[in-house]
Amino acid sequence: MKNYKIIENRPELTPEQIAHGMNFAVIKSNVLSPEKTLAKTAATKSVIIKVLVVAGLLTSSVLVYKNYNRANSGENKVTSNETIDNREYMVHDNESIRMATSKYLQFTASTVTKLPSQAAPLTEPKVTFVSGTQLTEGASKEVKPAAAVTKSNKTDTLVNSESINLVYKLTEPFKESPNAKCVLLSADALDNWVTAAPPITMNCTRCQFDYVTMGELEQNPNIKIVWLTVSVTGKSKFNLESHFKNIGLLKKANGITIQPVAIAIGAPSGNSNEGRVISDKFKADDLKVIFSKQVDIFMFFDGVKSGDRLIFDDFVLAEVKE
Amino acid sequence: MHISEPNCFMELDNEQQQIEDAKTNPGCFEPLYTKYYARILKFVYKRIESLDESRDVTAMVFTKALCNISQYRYQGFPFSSWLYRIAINEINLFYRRTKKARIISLDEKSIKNIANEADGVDGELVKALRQSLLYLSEDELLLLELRFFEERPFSQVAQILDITENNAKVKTYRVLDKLRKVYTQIA
Repeated sequence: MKNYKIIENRPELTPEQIAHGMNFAVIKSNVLSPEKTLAKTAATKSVIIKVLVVAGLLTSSVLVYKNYNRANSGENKVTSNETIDNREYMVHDNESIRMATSKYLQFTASTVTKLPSQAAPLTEPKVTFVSGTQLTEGASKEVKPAAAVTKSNKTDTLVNSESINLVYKLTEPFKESPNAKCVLLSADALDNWVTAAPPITMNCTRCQFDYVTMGELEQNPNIKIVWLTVSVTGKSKFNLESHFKNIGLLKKANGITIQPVAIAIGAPSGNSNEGRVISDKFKADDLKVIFSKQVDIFMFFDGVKSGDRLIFDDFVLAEVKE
Repeated sequence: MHISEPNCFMELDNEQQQIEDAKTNPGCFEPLYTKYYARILKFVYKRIESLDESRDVTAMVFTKALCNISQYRYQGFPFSSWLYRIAINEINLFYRRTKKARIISLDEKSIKNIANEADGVDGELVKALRQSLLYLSEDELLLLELRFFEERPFSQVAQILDITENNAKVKTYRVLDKLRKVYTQIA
């Protein structure tokens, strides 16, 4: 039952009662008052919101359309051996092989300093990035403009100034990442290296790998291997940029920063010179390498010498030692 | 009580002109206000107990009508139907806001109208019929008010409620059926 109130035989309104409440001026003033302006504003806001929503939808549609076209046009196509999209790779550990390798290299894991999971970051005042300018050690002055940097005899070596984005000032104090070790190896030192690696995971988006064989690398006697190990607790994630742009080797002799010719994460595939490593020609929209417990990366540099400094992703600083 | 609506084409044409003028100049709304104020006030007063509150609601009806006059399009219905629709919304808003009990204004003629339509009940059952009104929903009560208390034709009921005439008839007789069942039980 509803809560109604019944009023019976209610008297009709008299003309006086009706006329008493009539006042058009009040109605008109109400309409022309700020309330009306508010209503107009609200209507305007509504229109603006609608326009913004439509603009947003159009923009997102255009972006989606462009990305779709880009994906279909093969814009990033390179001459590569493999094209890998959005896959995840697992490289499994082989303890016995690892032990053998350690013995061979006379560099055991115990020599690696145990430190927190994150490598010591570079402190701001000690790192200076100078775009397009090369500096010499000790001289404290600029000696070579980027344009004057000559390319190495080996075409694999990247010394093009445009691709160099890691320039570390030799005059600045050098603080080595305490949990990182950089060991110099000759290319033939990997002859006994077999398919083994600490467990890693690679998360790859639109990756196009390009490989080079160990045999090809050995043809250049100047190419040596820098073995970077970084002890980590838990897992550590590194980005690998196309053409290894985030890896630089600051040469002690002339202050030039070069990129690796190739790298092997974990180990080159194969236990002979025919083993393949990732060439610097590879491209990737996003490639993350996740290491567990220890980072092992072999980087092939042209003309690397003891005392050069490795800069990895502004994150690891290590001096190359014999 | 029967409220006559303008049927003359000339009158409608004149009214349409006033509406069009009011869209551009609010001052031109005054003839419409003068013409319909009494009807709307009576309509509201039948549903709200206080005269002052009825006046306030009526003022709000015309304020909203004038604010939204630009959206009014003539669709073959008289302008008053549009005003009544606004009035119904304002009355509902008033009761939602004030939480007061809704008013049913009854007179002998109204109750006889329903009684005749329902079952030709005699005077003894009129009391039960009054009681049975309390079991109707607001929408059902509105239908009975428009049709039997205010004696509006179905066409106008349909216009005010924004439904078809046939739908208005069907709904009205469904309400009468419900009313009949309720007062039979009460009696």
